[in-house]
Amino acid sequence: MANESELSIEETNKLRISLGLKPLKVDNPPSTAADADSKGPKVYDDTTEGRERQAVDNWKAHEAAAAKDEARRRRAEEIRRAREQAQRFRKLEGKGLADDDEDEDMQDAGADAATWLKKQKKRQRKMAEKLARQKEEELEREARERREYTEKDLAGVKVGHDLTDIGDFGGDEVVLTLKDTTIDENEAEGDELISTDLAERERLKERLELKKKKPAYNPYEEAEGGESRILAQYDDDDDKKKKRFVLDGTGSLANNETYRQEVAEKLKATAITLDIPKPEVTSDYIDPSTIKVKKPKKKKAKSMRKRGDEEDALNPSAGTPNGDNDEMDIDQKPAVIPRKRIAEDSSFIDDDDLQSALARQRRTALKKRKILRPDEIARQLREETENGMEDDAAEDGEPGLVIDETTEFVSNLRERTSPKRPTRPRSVSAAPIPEADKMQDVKGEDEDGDIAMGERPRSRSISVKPEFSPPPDVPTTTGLDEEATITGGVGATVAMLTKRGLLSRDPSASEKLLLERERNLFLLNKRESEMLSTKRAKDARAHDRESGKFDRMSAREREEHARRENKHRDFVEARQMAERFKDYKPNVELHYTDEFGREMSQKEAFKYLSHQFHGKGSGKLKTEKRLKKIEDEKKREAASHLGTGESGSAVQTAAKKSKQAGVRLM
Amino acid sequence: MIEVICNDRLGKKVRVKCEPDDTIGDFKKLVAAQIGTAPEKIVLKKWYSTFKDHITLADYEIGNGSSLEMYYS
Repeated sequence: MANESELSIEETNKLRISLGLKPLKVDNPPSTAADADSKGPKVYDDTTEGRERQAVDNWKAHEAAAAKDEARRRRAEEIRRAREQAQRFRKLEGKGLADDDEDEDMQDAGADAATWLKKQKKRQRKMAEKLARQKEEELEREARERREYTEKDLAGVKVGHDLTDIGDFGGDEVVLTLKDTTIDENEAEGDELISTDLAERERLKERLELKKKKPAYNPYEEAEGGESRILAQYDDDDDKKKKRFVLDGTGSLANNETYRQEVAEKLKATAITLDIPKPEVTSDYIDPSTIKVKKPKKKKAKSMRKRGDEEDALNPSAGTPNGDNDEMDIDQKPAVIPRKRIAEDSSFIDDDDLQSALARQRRTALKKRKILRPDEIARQLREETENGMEDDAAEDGEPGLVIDETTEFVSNLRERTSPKRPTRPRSVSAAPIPEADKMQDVKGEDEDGDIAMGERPRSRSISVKPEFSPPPDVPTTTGLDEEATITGGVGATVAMLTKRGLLSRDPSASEKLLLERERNLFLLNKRESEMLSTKRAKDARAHDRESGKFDRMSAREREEHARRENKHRDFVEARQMAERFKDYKPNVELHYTDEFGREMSQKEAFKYLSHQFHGKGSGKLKTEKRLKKIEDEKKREAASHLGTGESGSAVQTAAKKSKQAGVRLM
Repeated sequence: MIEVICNDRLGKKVRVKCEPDDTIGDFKKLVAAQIGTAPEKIVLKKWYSTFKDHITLADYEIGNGSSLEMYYS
């Protein structure tokens, strides 16, 4: 398609040089003659073609070497194969079976007749000898066969049946045949004769036996031979079958010694007495010697002892003097006990169960009975009278729980018993208020129901004596408290909150208060000392100025002096501060608040923080649940504004107890 | 010395004499001299693999008589 442009080598080289490349290496193919001449190692140019030539030569050399190797290997293989062949046919060398004859025949055929005739004689002789030997052998065999096979030949042969079985078969002849066995068995046990008839009969019997479906285990069955075997139905029955005897030379059973013995034994075993059995008269009574009498336990003695225990339990005073109720026991004892014993001895001697049950009951009753102390008795009496009164009240016929003034009064009375002190709200104000100020504040509020901010004294001195005028506890006509309001100021508010259970007082409040006070004192001291030091510094500076110290000094010196003074002052202050910090005990508390401003418990805080950390909050359901809980809490708090906490809850519990609903009207 | 054929299939086909240890960059200069195009504009490819300038022809197994595809960027 396109005409191929090409530069010559010279042009290319020129171009290359102009480009800064080395010129092309043009190799000159070595002449074959020179190649043939030089027997030494060939010298290749350092060009592409030269290298290629080297590679080709190398390849050729390698190929040649490989070919040579292959040829040598093939030759060796051929040699080996030839040798093997030779070895294999070495055995076949020499004359074969056919060779001999053929040879002879060939010879015979080829030789003259005279030699053949000579040899013929020899051959005939040989043949005659052979025939004679054959005849002799035949005669011998015939003689052996002709000999009679008598009982004597059978002596020592085993028969695989019970001797008696064969005997029972009757007087007839029994045809015995060799048992069909494997070679191994035959070698192990020798020949064995069996009667096919008998064997058949045995097998039939066995099968019938199996068809009967007898229970496998029969406890009433007498064990064979007196011995009892465990799970005999699973035993192999080889032992039974192994009944066999050995033939003697006589050929008949009558003469067999073992048979005779066995028959005799059998006859002996089934011997029948011919005496007429006496009519046995069974007695109506069992023979006393046969009876085993269990000795009855001596129950009587035992029961007696038991009863003794009971008595002990009944009157503990007999064993251990028991303070207060001694007299009562003494009253009872002589009357009861002997009578009881007599009664038991006479009539209830057999009724053991009843006795034991009664005893148990008595014991439990005794345990339940309390030992009364005089004060307890007094209390009991009081309770009884109260109950009586209550009963009277109940009998009046007023249904349900009634919240009247009296109950309210009583509940309020209980409240009053715990002295109430207005505590500061939990939130710690940054500016410490001295205790005296606080007290005054409270006073001020109590007196005129107004937070007197303006009246708050500026001085921090404790010279102001608070006038203690306890709040006038004016008994109302109803016995109820006045409705607590928050118009009374912070103190009143706190009091109300505590009353309603919204503000719970800490058990360790006093301790905390002490700490707080200490801290305030510390801060106060600090500020005072600071002020003192600044004042002192001012004084010193004024003194310096007055004394005319500065007049003598240059401006620079003055500056230097001031700086030195400042440094000194700082140092002193720092030391004082360090000293003061020695007994500084910070009270560290961790408070966590959630997004609603509620205070969280440790657990909640952990959850909250972990949610924040992982950037993943609870699911929708859980969040809803939590929100609902918070709302409920709020509602509860709001609701508890209606009634005072403790008394309200008391009324509620009372209502719950009597299972009647009631609404408090205010 | 080897000869490499460069074909752009648009009418330019050059047979360049060079050495196997020349880099592709050098080779491009030679090609550029022959076809009259700036060497920076030449892109040599074999199928989808573009040859890089700093690698020698031998490393790309470009031998005598190999043909390369030539593109212009």
